[in-house]
Amino acid sequence: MPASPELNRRGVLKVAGASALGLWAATATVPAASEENSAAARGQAAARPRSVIFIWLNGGPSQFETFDPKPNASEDIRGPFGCIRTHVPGVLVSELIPQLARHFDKYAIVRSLAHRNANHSSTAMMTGIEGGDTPFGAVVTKLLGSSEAMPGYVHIGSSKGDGTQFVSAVDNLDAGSLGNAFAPLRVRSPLAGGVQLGDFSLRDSVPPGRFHKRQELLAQLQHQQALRESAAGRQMDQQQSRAAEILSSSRVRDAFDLSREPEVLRYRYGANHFGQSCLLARRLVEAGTRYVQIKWYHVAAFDAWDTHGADLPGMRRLEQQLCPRFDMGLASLLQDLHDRGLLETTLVVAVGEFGRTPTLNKNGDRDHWPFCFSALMAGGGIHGGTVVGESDRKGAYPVSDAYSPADFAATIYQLAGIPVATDLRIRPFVQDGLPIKALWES
Amino acid sequence: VLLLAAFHRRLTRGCLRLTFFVLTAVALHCHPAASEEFTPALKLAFVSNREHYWYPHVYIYEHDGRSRGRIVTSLQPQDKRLDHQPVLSADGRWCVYGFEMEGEVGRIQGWDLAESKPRDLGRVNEGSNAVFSPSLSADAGLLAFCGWSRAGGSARWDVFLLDLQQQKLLDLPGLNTLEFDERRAAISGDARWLAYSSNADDGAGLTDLRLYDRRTAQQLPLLEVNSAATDNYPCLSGDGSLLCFASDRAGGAGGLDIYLYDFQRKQMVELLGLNSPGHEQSPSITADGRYIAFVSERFDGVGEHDIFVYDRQSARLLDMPNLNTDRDDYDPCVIRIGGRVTAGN
Repeated sequence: MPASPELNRRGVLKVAGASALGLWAATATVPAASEENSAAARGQAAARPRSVIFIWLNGGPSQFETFDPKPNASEDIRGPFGCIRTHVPGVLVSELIPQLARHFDKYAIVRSLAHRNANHSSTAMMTGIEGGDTPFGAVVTKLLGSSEAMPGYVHIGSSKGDGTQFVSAVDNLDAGSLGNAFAPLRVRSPLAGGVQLGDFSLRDSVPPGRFHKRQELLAQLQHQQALRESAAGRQMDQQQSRAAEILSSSRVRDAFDLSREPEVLRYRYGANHFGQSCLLARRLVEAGTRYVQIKWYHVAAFDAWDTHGADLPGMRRLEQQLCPRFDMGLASLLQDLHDRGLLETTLVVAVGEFGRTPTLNKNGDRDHWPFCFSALMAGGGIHGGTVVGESDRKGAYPVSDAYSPADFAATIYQLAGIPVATDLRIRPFVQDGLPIKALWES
Repeated sequence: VLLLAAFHRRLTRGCLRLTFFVLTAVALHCHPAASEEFTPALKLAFVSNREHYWYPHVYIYEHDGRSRGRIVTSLQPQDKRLDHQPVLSADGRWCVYGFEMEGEVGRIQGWDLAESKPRDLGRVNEGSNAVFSPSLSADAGLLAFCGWSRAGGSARWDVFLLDLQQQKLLDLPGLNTLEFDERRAAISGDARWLAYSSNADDGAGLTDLRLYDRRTAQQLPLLEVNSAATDNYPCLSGDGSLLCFASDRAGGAGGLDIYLYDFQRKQMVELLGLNSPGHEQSPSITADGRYIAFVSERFDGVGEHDIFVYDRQSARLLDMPNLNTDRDDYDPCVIRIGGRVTAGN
């Protein structure tokens, strides 16, 4: 049965208070309490980026075939791919990422991340804590707030409830202990006819003028009740107002509209899900979104980085699908952020739940290995062209400066603008972790 | 049709003309001759996730060489099996493809398209380690493939050549190395030449193409073909005179591009209008060198990985209806049928 127009119009505002819209609004209205702390701590952190782009390479990418190749290792370790020199003497990356090799001046590599969980369900690299349920995005958005009329925390990629097989931590994490107010706005795909923004688009039958009149009417109706309510009730009222702003904002819709980009630039990112996700992330950051989380394709074992196999599920997927898309999309993102002057204020991170085994299996490929793996970090004051940490000759274990997920988390928070050393609110989320200062102090 | 058209022109009243036109169109469409008009000129084997997102399977597609095409069959789809990289014999009867059961090593299987039944390939799957990347001679008598740490080879990836009739692995002296990887073997239709990729350290780049002449047992480094970038995905025309491959070398249209080298003229052949700013890869060239099927990521495609076929004669991409889906379609192998059939991929 079709809903009545009256219900629809009113429903828009009702829903806005409790739906994802309201939730973004909640994140937007949280006072940026940490700004004062940040100001106090200025000088401790290398930079204060107002945004983070976190790229989740679900499945666990091979460090050997990306950022930590071992060309001189024995035959049972060395893969079939070669290495490319970067502009830094002695620093090699895999030949599968040639564009990223050329852009090494814009990012750093951490080669000695380590933990102990070899399951795809590990949340360590998304929360900083093994078994943690509060992702970085929720914490950053909660503590730093979102001062502009944009959703503060956006997830791009498949999610729980959309048919995805739940084998990746990212599918199940919303906002954990912080509550749904800090859960991300989930965007399934930047492709397939563009981002579907029905949730915060006005219906055709509700022009903006009428919408604002209805908004005023609702405000009057709720005024008396709001006066009687608690502070929380008044805050909800503010959230509704905020939601209404977002609902009627062409700025939000425009930020999600990739067709506004020149085709040549869209191609530069890659005509695929990941490339366009990177482009969308740049647009969102540019428009004021605090934290954008990009999930690599959908299922770890079948279209992501869980490459155990010989051919399609393994080595050939690395060279045919995974690395070309990753290389083109991420290199273009870094270059684009740089060209627009956004890289200094945007922290870019790319990591998976773990790395891959040093020893090649029967398929000539690699299995799960959390004891030593790599991540890319860029922007936010990080010194490009830096390698932090070192793996041993086999790429099996760190030989110095092993960094835990908690260290990784502390680094992200610090570079996002949360002073880890002085802001006590962050301690539950980093525990004993310490920022990897070598990324910006070297 | 001409008579009908002439009669149509003689009708003066608009409604009569319209009615006649519609009836004629329906009659022509329903006439048996209309459906029989489709004469396949090209046959493609390829892989698609269209029916199962996680387990891609092999499909066979036929095209009339102009603008019509259809899927004609798929090869025994099996749950929890990922199929990949199919190749066809020159007559289109035999299809050989790689597959991997979930959690097991890569294997190679044959399929008789005429009788819709598997073909035993014998020794190809010997050993406990993976084999992949099959390639057939035109008569389907020889099967080239790659094996990981296989008995009789090195501890790494090597190229092997199996005589399917005799069930004998043929010697390829000087082709494989102990220290490096030889992969992605492609045999010419006449079975004289083997093109493959190598990461040996005496090449122009990191991954280079090599050519092996079975007649002289010599390996050619292809210095005039390779670049400092990655050169990969080789395939040969029937007599081995044309080498088609993908490369991300400088000066391309963007990402990986498709290139064609003519050994007789000793020069690259221009492929006007083939490459896009996105990635192009996995080419397959017909025995006569006229058509090139390849995979591309383009905004005007149907899905992310789509298959395109380029006609060198007209220098344009063919319209390939019913081929691509919004899921990944890739690993094409193209042959000509109904025309000159002397050698295959």
